[in-house]
Amino acid sequence: MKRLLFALAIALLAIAPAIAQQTRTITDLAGRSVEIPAKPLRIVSLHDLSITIPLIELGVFPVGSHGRTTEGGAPFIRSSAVLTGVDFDNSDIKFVGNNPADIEAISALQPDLILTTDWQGTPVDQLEKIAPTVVIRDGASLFETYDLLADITGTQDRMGFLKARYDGQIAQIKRLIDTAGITTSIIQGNDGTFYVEHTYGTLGQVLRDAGFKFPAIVDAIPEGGELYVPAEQLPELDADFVFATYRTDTLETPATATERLNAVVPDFCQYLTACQHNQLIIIPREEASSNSFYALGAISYMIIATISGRDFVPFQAK
Amino acid sequence: MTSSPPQSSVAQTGRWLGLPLAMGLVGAALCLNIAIGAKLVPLDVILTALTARDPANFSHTIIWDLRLPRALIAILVGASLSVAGALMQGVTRNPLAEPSILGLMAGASFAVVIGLGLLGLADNASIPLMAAGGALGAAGLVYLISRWVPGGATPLTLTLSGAVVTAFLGALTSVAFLLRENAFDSYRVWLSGSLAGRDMSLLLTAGPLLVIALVLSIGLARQITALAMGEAVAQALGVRTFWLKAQLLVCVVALTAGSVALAGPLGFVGLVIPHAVRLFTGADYRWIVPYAAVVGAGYLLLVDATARVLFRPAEISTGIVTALIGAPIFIYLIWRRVR
Repeated sequence: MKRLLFALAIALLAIAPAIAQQTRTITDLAGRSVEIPAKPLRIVSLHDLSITIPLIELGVFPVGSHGRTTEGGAPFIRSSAVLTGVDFDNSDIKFVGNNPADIEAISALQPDLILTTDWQGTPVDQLEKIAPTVVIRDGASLFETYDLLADITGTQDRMGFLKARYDGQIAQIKRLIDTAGITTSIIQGNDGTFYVEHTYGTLGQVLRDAGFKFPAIVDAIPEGGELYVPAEQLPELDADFVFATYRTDTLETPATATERLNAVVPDFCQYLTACQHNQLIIIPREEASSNSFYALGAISYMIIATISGRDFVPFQAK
Repeated sequence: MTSSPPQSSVAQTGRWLGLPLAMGLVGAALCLNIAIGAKLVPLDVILTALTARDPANFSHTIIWDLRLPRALIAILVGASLSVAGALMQGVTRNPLAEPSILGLMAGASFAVVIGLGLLGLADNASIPLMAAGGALGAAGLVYLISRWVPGGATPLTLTLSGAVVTAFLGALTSVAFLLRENAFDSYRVWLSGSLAGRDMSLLLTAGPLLVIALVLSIGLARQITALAMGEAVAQALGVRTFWLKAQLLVCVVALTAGSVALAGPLGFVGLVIPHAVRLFTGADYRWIVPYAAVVGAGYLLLVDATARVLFRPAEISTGIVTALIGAPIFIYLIWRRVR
């Protein structure tokens, strides 16, 4: 029996490297073919919002992550404190810098897979010398990103549950609100212009999936794209409900959002039907713009709470 | 007794007549700047807005709160940077001198970024002062470096020192951005040189500074002509050169600092306009300085209008357009000197 166990152990040891090095080829979201480990165990993420948070939601903790720093220099995973509860200070995830990420810090973690975006300044060819590197295209949709990450990490089951829950939330919105008859718009004051996206994060995703309509100027933006709309075109962003956002990680408040809008057009509120009739809804950007199923749920609930069953003054284009 | 050659008299008359004509063209550029933009505002609505403003009418708000203040900033900044460039070229006898090339703009921008982002000095009165301190510091640094290198402060060493100081301060600004990303996030567009969304209350502090510096510069113009002929010639003509240089330094620093506070670093305006003006005025700074002010104002009005409509509905920073126009002219000037 001892001999048999010994032989088995030897056999297992012999095939272990083969198991560890088993690979497969995937096509990443930049259209590149990448040979990756079949079961990656040491992942480094080079974008906190787009990659690290989705990984954590899928139940996979990377060994290292891109992050931001507070004014005091302490690193943090942007929005993660409110979206997942996981951060550098309460997990084993190591900070590998911002943009560009610290290539030596990444290397020191001995990753078997690096996940990056084309926003990240650290060159992909340098990262590939450390480990196989998957690129997630800047502007990739939430579901494209999650599908790829679930495939890479073998967490499709978890992804299935998250998606089913979200489908239920969208069905709930559609049941309670005549979404096809309501226009919405999401604006952000930014240095003399209004920043808009075709689909602004989770907020835009929920609004589009639920069937709300958007102004023509927003629909004209290519999917995944953004536009800095000149101040003079403010009326083109008007809608039945207009959303604005503010950052809570920098201790902003709803007043900050309106200050920014006022800085673009003084007294902007009197030129927006939605604002004149108290249909300007200001929410935290962490939930509104992140890649997170938790945020999708929070946004879905917010929409039901603020729009369903209420009278509102419809916007009429002049 | 000899009479002036007829040709000179004709040129003189041409210059006198040219100035009101140039001002008229600036008026036309102002009208164009106000008339065009992301939103089409009919001419009759513009006239109504100007004569009988209705605060509830968004088109009237566009004219009064967006286009007119922006045009006013373009006029002030265009005139100021052009005059600053002309003064610097006259004093240093360096055709490549202007606030962005000699590092003053980088110094002003760096000081504002550090003052606002690190020291939290956010009140509008302190922004032009911070910019002035930065511009003065950068000017001193450029001068010291160019004096220290073999050959002394020649046009070439001044230009190279300016490039070095600009690169150094740019690197420090990048470090500050990296260390405090959130604090500096809102200065990115301003640092590209933009007239969009500027804080109009800054006009109350930077505006008077620029107007005073412009008037003083025009007052000093006559003596710059003598200085441009060489220090010895100027002294022989009774010019107190040290005192004049000090006054001109104050003017250049004030003009650069006020402009940077209002619109961020707009490169090459001070290079392009004085050279363009000289084609008409010749080397006489009595004409170069006022013409630079007028033509510079018109130039920035037109550049700003272009920046607003070039990629409609999006608009690009005015500083990008000034750089696109100015960089080839800079290269041409170097090529002409080398040749």
